[in-house]
Amino acid sequence: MTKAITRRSFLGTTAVASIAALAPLRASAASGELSVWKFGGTPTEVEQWAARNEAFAAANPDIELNYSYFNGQIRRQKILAGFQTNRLADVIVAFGQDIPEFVGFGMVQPLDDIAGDRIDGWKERVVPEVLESGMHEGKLYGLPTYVDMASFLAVNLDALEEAGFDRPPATWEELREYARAMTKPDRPGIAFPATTAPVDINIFEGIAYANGGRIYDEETNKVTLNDPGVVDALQLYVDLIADGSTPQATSLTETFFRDTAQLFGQGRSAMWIGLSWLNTPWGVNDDVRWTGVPFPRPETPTGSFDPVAAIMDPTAILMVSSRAENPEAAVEYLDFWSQDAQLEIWGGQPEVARIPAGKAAWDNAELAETWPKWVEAYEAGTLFEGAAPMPRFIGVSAIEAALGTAIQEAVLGQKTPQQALDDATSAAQTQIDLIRG
Amino acid sequence: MRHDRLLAYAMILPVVAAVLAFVVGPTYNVATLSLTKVVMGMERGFGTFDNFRALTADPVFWLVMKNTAIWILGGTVLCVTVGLAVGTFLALDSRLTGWLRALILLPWVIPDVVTAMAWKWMLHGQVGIIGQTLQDTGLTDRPISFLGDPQLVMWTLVVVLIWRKMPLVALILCAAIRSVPDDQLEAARMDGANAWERFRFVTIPNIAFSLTAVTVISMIWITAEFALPWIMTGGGPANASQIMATYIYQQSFEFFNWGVASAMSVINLLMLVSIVALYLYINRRSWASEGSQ
Amino acid sequence: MNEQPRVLYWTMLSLIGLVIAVYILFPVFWLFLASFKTQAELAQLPINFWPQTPTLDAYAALFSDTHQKGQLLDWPRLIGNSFFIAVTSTIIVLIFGTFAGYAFARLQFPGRDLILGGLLISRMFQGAALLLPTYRLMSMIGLQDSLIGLVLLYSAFGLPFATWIIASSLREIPRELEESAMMDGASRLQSMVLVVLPLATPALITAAMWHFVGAWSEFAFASILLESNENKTVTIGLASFVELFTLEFQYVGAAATIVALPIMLVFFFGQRYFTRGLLAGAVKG
Repeated sequence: MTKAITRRSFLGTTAVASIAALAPLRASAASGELSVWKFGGTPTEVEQWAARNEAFAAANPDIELNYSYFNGQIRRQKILAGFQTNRLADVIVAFGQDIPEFVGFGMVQPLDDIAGDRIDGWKERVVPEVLESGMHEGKLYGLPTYVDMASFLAVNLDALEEAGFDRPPATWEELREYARAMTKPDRPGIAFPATTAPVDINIFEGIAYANGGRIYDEETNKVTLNDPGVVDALQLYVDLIADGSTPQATSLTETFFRDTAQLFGQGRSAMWIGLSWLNTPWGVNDDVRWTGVPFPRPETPTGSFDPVAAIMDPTAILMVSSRAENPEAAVEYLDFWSQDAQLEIWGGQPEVARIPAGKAAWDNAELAETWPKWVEAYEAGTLFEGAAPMPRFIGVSAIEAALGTAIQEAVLGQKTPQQALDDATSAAQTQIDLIRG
Repeated sequence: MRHDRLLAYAMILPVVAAVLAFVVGPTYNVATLSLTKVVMGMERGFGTFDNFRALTADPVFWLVMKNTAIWILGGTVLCVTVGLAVGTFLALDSRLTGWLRALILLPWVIPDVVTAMAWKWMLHGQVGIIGQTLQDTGLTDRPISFLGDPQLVMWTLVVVLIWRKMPLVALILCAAIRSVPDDQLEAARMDGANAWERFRFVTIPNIAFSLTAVTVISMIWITAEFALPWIMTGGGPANASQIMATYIYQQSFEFFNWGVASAMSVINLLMLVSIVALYLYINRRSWASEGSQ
Repeated sequence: MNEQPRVLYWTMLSLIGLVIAVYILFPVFWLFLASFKTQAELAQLPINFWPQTPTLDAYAALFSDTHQKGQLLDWPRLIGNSFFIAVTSTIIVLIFGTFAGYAFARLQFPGRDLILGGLLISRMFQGAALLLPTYRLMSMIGLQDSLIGLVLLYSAFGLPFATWIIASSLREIPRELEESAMMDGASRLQSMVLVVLPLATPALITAAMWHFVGAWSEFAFASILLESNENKTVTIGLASFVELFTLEFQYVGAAATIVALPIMLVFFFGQRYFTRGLLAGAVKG
C-alpha cells in the first residue's frame, strides 16, 4: 500500500493527487450504517478488496461498514432474494450485464440523482469508455473498477515458430490454417471452452459480435441468435473441430475456460480462446513462452449489424440499491473506490488480470511489463476503439442459456450451426416474451 | 382417554406447527405463484394457466422429463441393486467388512458441494485423474469425456449419485440380512440348497420388506438431490443432463422466470406426492398403528 | 481338499472388498492427497499421484490470519457456527421428535395416521423452488442472517423424519413394561422418560446422527439466508474455494478433511447403533 501511494505521487498528475488527498476530508460528512455485497473475483482481488475496506473504515470512522463477500455463483439469486424482501444491501458490486434487469426491476438507482458533483471527480479519474459501461438509458448506474473484454487468443510462441509462422493469426482463415499447422498428434492446435458456464458463452459472443452478429435486437424485441453473424461464428468453431485442430468435441463440452487455460499452460494445446484475463494464475509452466492477442477477425463480416472490435463488461461495478437508507454513505463508498489508490489494484498492484478502469492505473510499470500491447493501445487511444458492451437487456440470461445450448449442439455435431441457432432463436423468443410480458 | 387425546395433541403440536410454518407455508406460496402471471419480476394477476401452458410448449421440458426419469428410476434401481450387492458382502463376518462398514459412510458425511466439485475434477477427460489413468493404463487411447458426452453424462451423474446414496442403503440392507434367522438358512442348507438358492429363497423373502422400503426411500432422496447435477454439469451438454431440479433453479434464478419455475415445482411436487403416497401405502403396516382400528 | 476353496473364498472376498473400497474411498482419498499439494502442482499435467513436495500450507492457511482476511472467512468460527447449528437443532429435533413420536406410537387420537402421513409427505417439500419463499418468510420474521433462524429451519426440516424413526421404534417396545410402571404409580410422562426412552436409545442415536449430518452439510438455504461473515457455515466456506478463476483444491481438501473428521469419529463409534436404529425404525415392517 505504501508503495502504491508513493508511486502514485510520482506518476499521477497533480490534479489527481490533490483530489485523492481531499477525499478523507470530505468523507467525514457521511455517517451511519452501510452494507456492501460483493460477489466473486480473483483471489488477489478478493483479498485486496477486503484490505482496502479497512482503509475506508479508517478514513470514515462515522460510517459503520458492513461488508459481505459471496461466492460469485449465487450472485443473481442473492440479489433477487434481497430485493424481494426489502433487504438489499446499500451497495451491490455485481456485473454490468445485470444493469438493465436491476434497473427494470427497480433494484438500483441512478447515481446522477445522489452523487452530485462527485461524478465530476469520477469522470476525471476513470477512463471514459469504461465509465460509459456503467451507463444505461442515459443515466449512470454504476462505478466500474475494471472491465473484461472478449475475445482474445493466447498463442504458444514455440509452437508458432515451430510451425513456421512469425506472427499470430489475424484472420479467421489464418486461424484455421495456423491451428491445423500447429496441431501435433499429442497436442491440439487450439482449444476453446464450450460448457454451459456464462463466461464460456461470453467468449463466443465476442467472436460473433466482431462478425456483426447480435443475440437480441432491443428495437424490434426480436432474438437474433440466427443472424448470419452468429451462425458463421459458430461455423468457425465447427470448422476448427472438423479440421482436427482441437481436442475431441465431447471434450470441449466438458472443458470450462479454466480447464482450457490449464491445458494451454501445461503445453497441451498450442492456442486457446479466452477473455482479456488470459493472464491469471492458471499455473503456466515456466518453459511455456506465450503471448496474448485480440481474436482474429473475419475476412468480411457477415452479420446484419455493425461489427465491433471487442465486447466488454465491468464485472465488479458498484451500484447503489434503490432501497439504500443512507445514500450519502453509499456515495462515499463509491467515491472511495473511484480514488486512484483503489483503482490501481488492477494496474498490476497486485492484480494484472483485468483491464483497469482508473486512468492512473495505466501508468504503472507492472502493467506495461505484463501487457505492453494493451498499454501501447491505451496510450494511442485505440484500446477501446469500436468496443461495445456485452449483451445486456432484460432476459439476457435466458438468451445466453439458449445460445449455450446451441453452441454445444453444434460442437457435438447434433445439429448444423444454422439449425441449432434457429431452434435456439425460437426457444429464446418464447422465453423472453414470457419474461417481458 | 380424553386426557390422552389432549396430551397427544400437545405432544405433536410443536412438530406440526414447525412443519406448517417452515415447509407448508412456503410451498403454498409456490403453488399460488404457479397460477400467477409474472412479468419483469412483478406479479401481474392471479388465476392463469399460462405458466403451465408455457411449460408444455417448451421442448426442453420434455427432455427434462426424460432425463428426470433416468435420474430417478435409473438411480433408484442401481442404488438398490448395488446397495444390495454391497450390503450382502458387508454382512459377511470378517475384520475387513467390519472396517468397511464404518468407512463406507464417508461419502455421506462429506457435503454435496465438495462431492460435486471433486468428482467433476476427477472425471475430466483431459485434466482429471480418472481420464489420465484410463489412458495411461491403455484402457482407452482417446480421453473419455464422461461429463461432456451427451450419451454418457446422465449415467455418469447416476454413478456419482450412487456413490453418495448407496452406502446408507447398503448398511440398512446389511443389517436386515444379518437379522435373517440362522435356523432358516441352516434348514435350507440341510435341504441341499446352494449359496445362491439360499440367498434367493431364504434371504430375499426375509428382507423383502426392507428392500421395498429402501427403494422408496432412495427414490425420495434422489428426487430431492440438486447440488450434484447443478455443480457438475449445469444441465449440459446441450441439455443432456437437464433435470427437474436444475431446470427449476435455472428458470427462477438465472432467467428470473418465477411463474414457470413455480409451475414446474408444482408438477414436481405432484410427482413426489404420488411416490410418497405409494410408499406410505406399501409401508402402511409400519407407519400406521398396529392393527389399525 | 478343504484348503483350496477357502483360499479362493478369501481371495474373492478381499478382491470384492478392494473394489468397493476403491470406489467409495478413492474420491475422498484424492481430496485428502490434494490438501498436501501446492497450487502449482495441482495445475501440473500429467498429474502427479503423490504430492511431490508435501506441504501443510493449506491447513496452516485455513487457520492463519492473512488467509482469513483474503477469503474473508474465519475457519474456527465457521466450524463453531456449523457446530452450534447442528447441535442445537439436533437437540430440538430429539426433544420434540420424541414427544411427537411417543404420541404417534402410543396414544390414540383422531387423525393420527393422516397427520403422520402428512408429516412424511412434507419431508419432500425441500428444493430449489422453496428457496425464495423461505427467504421471504425468514426475513418477515426477522430471522434471516441469523444462526437461530437456521436452527429453526433445519429443525422443521428434520422433525418429520426423526418423529417417524422414533415412533416406529417405540412401537417395537412392549407396552407391558410401561403399563406395569404406570401401575406402580408412575405418570405417563414419567414412564415414558424413565422406562421407554432408555430402550429406544438406538433410534434416538440414529435420529440424532441423521439430523446432525444433514444440518452440518446443508448448503442451499445457508448460502441464501446468511449474510454476515460472523454467521457463515463450513459449507459456505467450502463453496467459496470454488470460484470462477481458481479452483484451490488444496484448500477444498484441507477444509473437507477438517470438516469430515469430527463426523467420522462420531460415526466410527455410533455406527452400530446407527444401523440398528435405522433397521428398527425406518425399515422393519
